[in-house]
Amino acid sequence: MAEEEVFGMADEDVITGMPIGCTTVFDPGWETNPNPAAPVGNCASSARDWSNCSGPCWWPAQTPDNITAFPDYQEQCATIQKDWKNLNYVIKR
Amino acid sequence: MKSRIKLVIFLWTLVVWALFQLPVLAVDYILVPTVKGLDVVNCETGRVIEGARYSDYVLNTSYSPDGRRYYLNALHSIFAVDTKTFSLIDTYRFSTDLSRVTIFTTAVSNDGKQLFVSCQIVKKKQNIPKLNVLPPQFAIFDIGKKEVVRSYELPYGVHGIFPVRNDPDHAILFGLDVYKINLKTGELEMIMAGIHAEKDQEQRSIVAMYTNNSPGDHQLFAAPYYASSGLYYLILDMVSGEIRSIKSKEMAMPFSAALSPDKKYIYAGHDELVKVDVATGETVNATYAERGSYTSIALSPDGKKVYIGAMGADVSIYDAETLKFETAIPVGGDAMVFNRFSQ
Repeated sequence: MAEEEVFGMADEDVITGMPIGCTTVFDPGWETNPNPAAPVGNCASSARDWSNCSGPCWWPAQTPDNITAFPDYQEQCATIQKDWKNLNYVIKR
Repeated sequence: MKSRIKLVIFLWTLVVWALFQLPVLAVDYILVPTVKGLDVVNCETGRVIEGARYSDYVLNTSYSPDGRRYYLNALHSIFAVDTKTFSLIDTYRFSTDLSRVTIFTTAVSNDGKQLFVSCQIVKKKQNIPKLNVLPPQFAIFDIGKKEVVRSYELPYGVHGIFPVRNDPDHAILFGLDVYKINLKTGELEMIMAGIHAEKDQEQRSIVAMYTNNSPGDHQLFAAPYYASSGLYYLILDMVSGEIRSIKSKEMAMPFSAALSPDKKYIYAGHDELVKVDVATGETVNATYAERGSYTSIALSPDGKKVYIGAMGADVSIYDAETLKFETAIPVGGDAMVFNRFSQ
């Protein structure tokens, strides 16, 4: 094991420009839609992707980051399409 | 009198023989690990049974080769479920106050005694404001002892582990590239380039995180991947570890795929559901996903029904021939994956 205190992703021999973050694969999310009609490339509806994003920290700025900041978000919102009114992750009360 | 006894014995033998000749009427269950607990959908009646209860995000699932155990890979724990009763039989917690272990994916060894885990470990030193982020790890967890018995360093991004069934010393790993790992030494061999392609090769973005297989199926794992020349599907033979690719003649945007029981068609999708002929790569049928995006696909054992779902809180049933939507069954919470079990 290396003695370094922190192992940085920049040390990896990864081609720059590939999206590397919390996620493990390239995966177009609901911001991207390469086609105006079928085949669509984004999630429909975006709510379908909510738990998939917040769980594994896919888009941590846009959804509750379940890995660090909001570990029990699912307690508030188990089914986003029904429970969206309970969302309370921007301002912690 | 003797002849009457003989007749009774004969009739009983006939009844017992007839009972064994009846076809096994297995019912398909979709096991959906929602954020509130495991919900079990009876595909015949539409009834949803509550199985193991927990509150967590289950990123991935795996099952023992005999299908008796279902392992739910949450972010920091693994839940073990008995597939006869659907109840929680154990929880393996990997994180402590000073060591946070984030589990990306798991798989079960051929003998069912070990879990192979791809994880990231962040260590905190007591009273020192520093975090030590270790390189990604491949951990071998002994289920009986409930401890990690070996671990090896991994490249970043391993999100799919497939033990080779006829070679207990190796497993196939899907990450930014595809590797074969020696489970005794940790030695890695790249067997298919993903983003680390040679200059004269094109890069591939491989999405192999949705393991749509079922116990007792053909043991062929299908997944889409993208390259600059178009959409492809890979098929991993989980018995031999061999991979082959099929180029799709039409473009779609699938995240997830499953091979039909007769191995003739790939069903794939995310917002749509497409049916692709394995022999020609042609899309023979396509439709929109009625209830929206999904991540998991399963086929009924007779190949007549397609089940799609997770992402949202439902499982949809389609006719596999016509891709006609039949019904959607709601479950108790959002989920990220599911698997079909038949019993």
